[in-house]
Amino acid sequence: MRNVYYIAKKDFYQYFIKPATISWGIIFPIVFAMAFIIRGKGINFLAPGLIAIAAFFGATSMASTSITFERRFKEFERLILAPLKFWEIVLGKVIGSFTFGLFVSFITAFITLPFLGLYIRDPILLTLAIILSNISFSSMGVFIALIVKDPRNIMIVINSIRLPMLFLSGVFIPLSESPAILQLLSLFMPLTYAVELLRFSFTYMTFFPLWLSLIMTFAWFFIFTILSIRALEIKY
Amino acid sequence: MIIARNLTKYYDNFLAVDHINFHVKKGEIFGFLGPNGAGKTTTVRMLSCLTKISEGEAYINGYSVRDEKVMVKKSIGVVQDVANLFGDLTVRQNLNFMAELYHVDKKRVNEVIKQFELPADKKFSKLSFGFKKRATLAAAVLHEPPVLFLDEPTVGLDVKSSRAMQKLIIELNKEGHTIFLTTHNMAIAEKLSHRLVIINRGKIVAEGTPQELKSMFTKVLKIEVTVNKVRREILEELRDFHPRAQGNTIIFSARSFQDFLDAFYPVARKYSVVVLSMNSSGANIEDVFLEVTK
Repeated sequence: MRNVYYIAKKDFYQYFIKPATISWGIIFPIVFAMAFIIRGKGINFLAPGLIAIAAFFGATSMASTSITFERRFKEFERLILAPLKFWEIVLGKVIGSFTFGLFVSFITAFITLPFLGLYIRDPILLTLAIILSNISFSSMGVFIALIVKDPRNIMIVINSIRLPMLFLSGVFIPLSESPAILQLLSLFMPLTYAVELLRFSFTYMTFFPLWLSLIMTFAWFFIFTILSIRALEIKY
Repeated sequence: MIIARNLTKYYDNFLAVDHINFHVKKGEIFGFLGPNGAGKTTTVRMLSCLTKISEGEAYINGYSVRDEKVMVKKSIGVVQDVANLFGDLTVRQNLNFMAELYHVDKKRVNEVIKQFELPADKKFSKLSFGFKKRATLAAAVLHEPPVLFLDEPTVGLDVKSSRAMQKLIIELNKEGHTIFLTTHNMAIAEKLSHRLVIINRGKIVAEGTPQELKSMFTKVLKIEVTVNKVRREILEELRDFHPRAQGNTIIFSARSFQDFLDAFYPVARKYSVVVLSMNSSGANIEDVFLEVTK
């Protein structure tokens, strides 16, 4: 696990203030969510979604930025050349972006939202939800960044996955009000379960049972991590 | 130290490396020459676990490249054809990170910075190309691997940096590193390598010491020796080399420069002839390269 820590530490130091991380990871989700708040949905409904997209964009942006930069300039191959197991590289990358996502979403949850007069019912569950969401989003970002053929296209690819997910995962429109087909689609979105978990910590009311969201959020992390390791095994 | 048996790489249907075999001995500088696209970099990438082997086997320091990747990676240091340390980190941060990954004492970082005369606190991306290459080489030797892969280490360097790099390569070899050197610079390959392999279109087309390769492909060498005084006895004793005197210059023909020297100097000493200059024209490694890759 020491190697995982070294990679995460290096990534955090190196990519925390990259323009792509800042713009896509912090500014975009906040501006996007604020736009919806202004358009009328109440802050009480949107708050969990705001935290979820802060985590979603923060963690995935950091993962994609770090891996994309390193793949483009062949720096990533320094990690492959080092005597590391593939799981150490994947987890190192996941934890580096997880830390960034955690930072962004904690600021959103515990500093920004109380200023908007929001009451957090279950801070412990909220903390757990933020941690689990970030870890699943980071692993998703790492997986996408590893499998994209041309690293220069990462933002096109990742945004064509992230943006539809925003509208299908109950961030802005409650799943209970969505058509059945969208409800079915939402089952396959990691963001859905993160939003559900976060919403529970604010309102105790969710579309899916709490246990399912907890298991699925962790399951997505597991699935993306295994797929990322497999992607490295196939390539190297 | 490095063994390749039927090493092969396919990229879809394209055969990039075609069942090559070679054996690099401990302590050697092994030159791996070839024109662009011959399969040099692909071979290095296979041996350093950066590209999967399609067919065949390779062993480094006794470990299988296919099955014992982590042990292989501990045994090698690699300088790729691009200088690819982390651009946003300083040289010291890069080396510290590598020291962490290879579990090397941080004191070693200072040693390497001193040995390679690196600007420790400058960001890697801000270094000149020559220093980038040096820093990449420094990172490759940080964990003191027995085997070094240097892929075109002098490409893009000016004369001064290239010479400094060559000096470093010789020093590293003297320190005990076995060096696998790929290059298409014939002069450097000839100067540095103990043995050479020439690869063309994925196949090995020639192998041997620089001298062996040159003599293998040399038809006739023309050697011009200017002496203080031409003596008839010298012309007679060295008649096997078909001497022709032109003023104070004697022109010899030989198949091997070394054989000529072995025969010439005892005779010159015997007749107290002083050699003022000696020139030979004939095959060098570049000629051999052109011959076998045409």
